Amino acid sequence: MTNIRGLFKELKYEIFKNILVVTFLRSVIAFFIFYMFASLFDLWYVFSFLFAAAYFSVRLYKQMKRIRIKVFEEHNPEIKEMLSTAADNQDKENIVLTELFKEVIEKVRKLSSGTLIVPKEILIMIILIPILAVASFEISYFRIDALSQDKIIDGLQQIKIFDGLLGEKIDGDIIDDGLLDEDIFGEKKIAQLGDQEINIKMNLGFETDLTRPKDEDTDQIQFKDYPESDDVELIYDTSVSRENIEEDAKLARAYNEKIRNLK
Amino acid sequence: MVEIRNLDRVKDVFDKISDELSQVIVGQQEVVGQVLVAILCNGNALLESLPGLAKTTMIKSISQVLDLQFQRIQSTPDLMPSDVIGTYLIEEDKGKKKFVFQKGPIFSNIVLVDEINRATPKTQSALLEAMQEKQVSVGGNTFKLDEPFFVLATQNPIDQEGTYPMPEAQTDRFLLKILVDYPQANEELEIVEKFTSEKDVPTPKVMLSKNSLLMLQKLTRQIPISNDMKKRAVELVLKTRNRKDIIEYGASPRASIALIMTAKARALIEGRKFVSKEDIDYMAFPVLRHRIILNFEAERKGMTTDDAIKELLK
Repeated sequence: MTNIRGLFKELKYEIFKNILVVTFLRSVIAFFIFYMFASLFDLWYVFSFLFAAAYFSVRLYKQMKRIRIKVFEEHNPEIKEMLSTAADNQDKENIVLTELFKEVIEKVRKLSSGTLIVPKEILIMIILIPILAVASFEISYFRIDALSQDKIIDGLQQIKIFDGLLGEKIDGDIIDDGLLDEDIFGEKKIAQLGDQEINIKMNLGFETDLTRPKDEDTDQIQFKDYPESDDVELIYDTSVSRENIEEDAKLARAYNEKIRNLK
Repeated sequence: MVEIRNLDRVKDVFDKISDELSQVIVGQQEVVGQVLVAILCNGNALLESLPGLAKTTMIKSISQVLDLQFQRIQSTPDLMPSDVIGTYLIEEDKGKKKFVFQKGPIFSNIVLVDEINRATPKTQSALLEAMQEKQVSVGGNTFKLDEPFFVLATQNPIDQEGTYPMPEAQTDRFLLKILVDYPQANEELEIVEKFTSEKDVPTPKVMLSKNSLLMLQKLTRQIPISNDMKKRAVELVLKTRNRKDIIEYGASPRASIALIMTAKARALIEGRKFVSKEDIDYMAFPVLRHRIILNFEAERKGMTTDDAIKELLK
């Protein structure tokens, strides 16, 4: 009696192992599929783990209800009736039942738990996983901006219920006058600032007061003492300090004299 | 008590019984099998057969193989109950007269009642009472019948004039209704060869003792059955009551009991320690064919009860 009960416990454990393996493989596939989607639209990769974990939990929970001897019977029809009879009568005892239990134990021991696995299904999943892994890697280079996170947030900001939840909205527009050189300044777009006051932190060494008139002395210092040369030209740059200009001017003069001496 | 180590030999025993019977009876293996099932279930069987199909030879051979006493009763319209169960006779002993009960032919292990539909209803009831109770009551005294006790009653499907057909309430008491058909051509050749040659037909040897048979009857009840098979048997009987399109009157719960018991017996004969779907489906025919009444529409179409059972098994 205890032997047959022990056998049924073992069978249920085998069924559980099979369910665990299949559910895990399916979760891995689900992870890669979601990861492809996430990387395509620049979503955080952790979402893929969460999705796969949720899928694993839900599927495992549903499959746990299927842990019954009938699952083993379905995969082994040759001993189905014998097994179901033994399972339904495991609490009874008589001569015939004792013999039946012995026979069931003998036959079940000869069967492998591999009979529970559908080879085709497992093979397909094992082949699919590396394919999906490679595909995920390849797809991760691409981005679809239409649905990037910023765009999602912008879109959500249009909806009133999200007011104040997704950060401050900045008024403004993007214009393109086509006047600027793309190579130096990047994209041919200038952001037109709106009415709002904005704080810009800049390099302190920068002369930012655009209303101050040009310093004619500074200009004269630059070019007054050094004759114009065809060889070297000094280009005035507002970011350079007066000391630097003098130093550079000295260097330019020395170089020009060398060239004249060579001639 | 049948030892555990002998349980696997049960199939061998029944195979040997079949082989021994085949020395006398040609073909009819299904009929023999069903008779053995009825004996194992401690029930009685109704045999529907045309004359000359070796019914008496078969049942006599079975009684010889099983080491059981055999009696034959030929039913006629003037057969009285006392002719079947027995009666008190006055005997004189040392000048004193006393009543002594003279046992009737029913006091045997296997009783063949030929053409039971020819006996009067009163005689039929006496017989059925003995079948049911395994005892007879005569003159206020009760006499128990010997165990095992098995009645094989026969009916002739033709020649119904002057007969008293048994009502369904009485046929329901028979565990099985077995149909016997004509033999095949090759079987008939063998029959002719066996029974017209100069060699005597051998007497079957005893293969199973009376006590072993009683043990096997107890063992039959111990054969386990799964819940699915029990449901299948019960659902089949329920269908006989629900299919009003073909069946006027369905079978009673007695049919459910009979179906499961006979399925167990068949499993034991086949050497299995569990009841299979095949057992239920096979025994459905002899168990149900005499317990259902077809409606007019089905009869008009020429449907038989076996056809109706086939329809239910689909």
